[in-house]
This record gives sequence, structure tokens and C-alpha cells, in this order.
Amino acid sequence: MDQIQTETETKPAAPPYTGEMAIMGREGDTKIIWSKTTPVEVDVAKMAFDKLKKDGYSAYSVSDNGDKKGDPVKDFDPNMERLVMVPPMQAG
Amino acid sequence: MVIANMTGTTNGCIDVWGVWNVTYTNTAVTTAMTVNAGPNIGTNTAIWTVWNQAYTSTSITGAGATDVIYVNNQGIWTNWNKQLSAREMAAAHQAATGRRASQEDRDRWKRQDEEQRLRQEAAARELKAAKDKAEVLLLRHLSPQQQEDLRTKNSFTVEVDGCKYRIHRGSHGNVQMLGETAGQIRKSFCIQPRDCPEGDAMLAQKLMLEHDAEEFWKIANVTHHDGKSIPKKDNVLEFRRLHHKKEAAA
Repeated sequence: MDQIQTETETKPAAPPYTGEMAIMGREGDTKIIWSKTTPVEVDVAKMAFDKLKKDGYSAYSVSDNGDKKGDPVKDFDPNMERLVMVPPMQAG
Repeated sequence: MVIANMTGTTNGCIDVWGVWNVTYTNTAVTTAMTVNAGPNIGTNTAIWTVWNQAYTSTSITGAGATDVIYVNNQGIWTNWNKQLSAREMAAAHQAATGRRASQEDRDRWKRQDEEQRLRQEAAARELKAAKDKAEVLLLRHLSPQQQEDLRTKNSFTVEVDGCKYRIHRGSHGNVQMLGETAGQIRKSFCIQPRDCPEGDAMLAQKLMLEHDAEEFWKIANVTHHDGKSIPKKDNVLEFRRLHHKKEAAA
């Protein structure tokens, strides 16, 4: 009986994501994640950020558990770890 | 406020009169009509009474006028626009024609009922999923104390320049500026992001208060503790007066 040999191809693991942008919307937030070492991911995140800012969204750099109040963000920086994008505020 | 046009589909209004007629009367309307606010007066009998069975707090102005009435209740508008159920359609058909609707019609109305039910269920599922998702995002960005307050009191507190704000569960008119003594409310605010579930709205309010409270005041509708509105032009002055006073004391 022939021996069956299997080969397993090992792919390099994708770099873990380093940044996350939560975009608030009608269906809850949509997340865009990127790794700062992957240019195409950074480009996509930056394009989304710029488009949202143009549409009047506010960007906040935030952290877990509200430990740090964070800062409003004007320009996209791939080193940022977490962003929340808030649609324009309006009076009720 | 809803402006209901009585004359059909003009001005972007849905054919309200057509829907009424299916259920209530066979009265024809041409270019104008009068709605009698009292019951059983004239030819338009008891329409207002029927509305009021469901919406007792509604008021009407301009009753007796022609063409247009002003109705202060969104619920009525929703009800007008809802699809009649198969049973209501069958009853309306019988009332209008004196004959029982055909089996084909009744089956079609039942199918429409079922489709409507499935659409409503899907919409409710989507709404719940959005709400849950927003809740996760909100909780992730609250301190342990704020999370605990939200769980036990349905609100949490944010401190800005020594001034305390309370954000209640909700999305409209749910923010208050607290006073020096316990339970005292100085101002209430109505401000929210466009088209967001409750959790997202609360997080947006928190972030904006923390980062740009003056802009928050500038955009919001602000009311005094006695319920009187502050004119928009005075919002920023009032903000500076209250916050700078606090900063000076701190």
C-alpha cells in the first residue's frame, strides 16, 4: 500500500492589526482596522478617515474603560490605536 | 408637527383621504373638505372621535378650515400610513360594496399581511442588533464607575471643568447639567448625532462634552431647570458664565 504523504504549506502570518476606527452609524458602528506596517491597509483607513471628516464627522482618539479622555483628532495618523468617528451633532 | 393635506397626494403628502375613505366613509372629496372636531356633525361623522380613541392627547387647530388641518401628533401620521390588515381590508370592502370580498382578494391581503409581518420582524431584529452593538461600544469607553452607574441608575456622570453633567439612557433630551446640591438640575440639553442608536448617541455626547463642551452648548437646545428655553444666541455666553465661574473657584 502506497504511503500517502501530505504537505502542509505554511503561510506567513498576517501582521496583527495595530489600529481600529469605529464609525458610528444607523446599524451600530462599523470598524476599519489596519496594521501600520501594511501600507494598503493604512491607505484604506486614511481614505475612510478623510472622507468622514469631509462629511462633518468628528474623530476622537480613545482608550478602553474611558481611562484617558483622549483627544479630538484632525489628521489621520497610522500610529493611533483607536478612533471613534462621530456623525455631525444636531440639536433635537 | 405634521401638515396633512386633505386633497390627495399634492405637496408630497400621502393620500390620507383615500385611506380614511376605505375604513370610515364613502364620502367623496373634491378640492376641499371640512373636518368636524366634534362627533357626528355634518357629513364627516365621527372621524375625529375615531382618531381620539387611539390618540387621546392629540389636539387640533384649524378645525373647520378647508384644505389643510394641523395635527400635533406623529402617531396619527404613522397610523394613517400603515398598511391595513387583511381583516380591515375585508371589512372595508364589505362596508363599501355591501358584498363579501372574493377569496382571491382575501388571499392576496393575507399574503400582504404575512409579508408585512416578516418585514417588521426583520426591521426589529436589525434595530436590536444595532442597539446591542452600540451598547458594546459605549461600555467599552466608560470607566468602571460609569458602567456601574449606567447599570444601576440608567445614567452616568461626566465632569467638565469642575461642572458635572449627567447622561441618561436615551438619545434625545437626555443630558443634564447638575447643580451644587444633590438632585439639583441646572440645565437640560437636547443634542445627538444623526441616525445613531442610543448607545452611540450617549457615547457621542460624552466625547463631545469632554472634548468640546462649548461647541456642545452651541449646538444643543438648552433649557433651564424650570423648562424655559435659552435663546440659541445666549448658549455660549451661559456656558462661559457657568464654566469660568467653576474654573476660577477650582
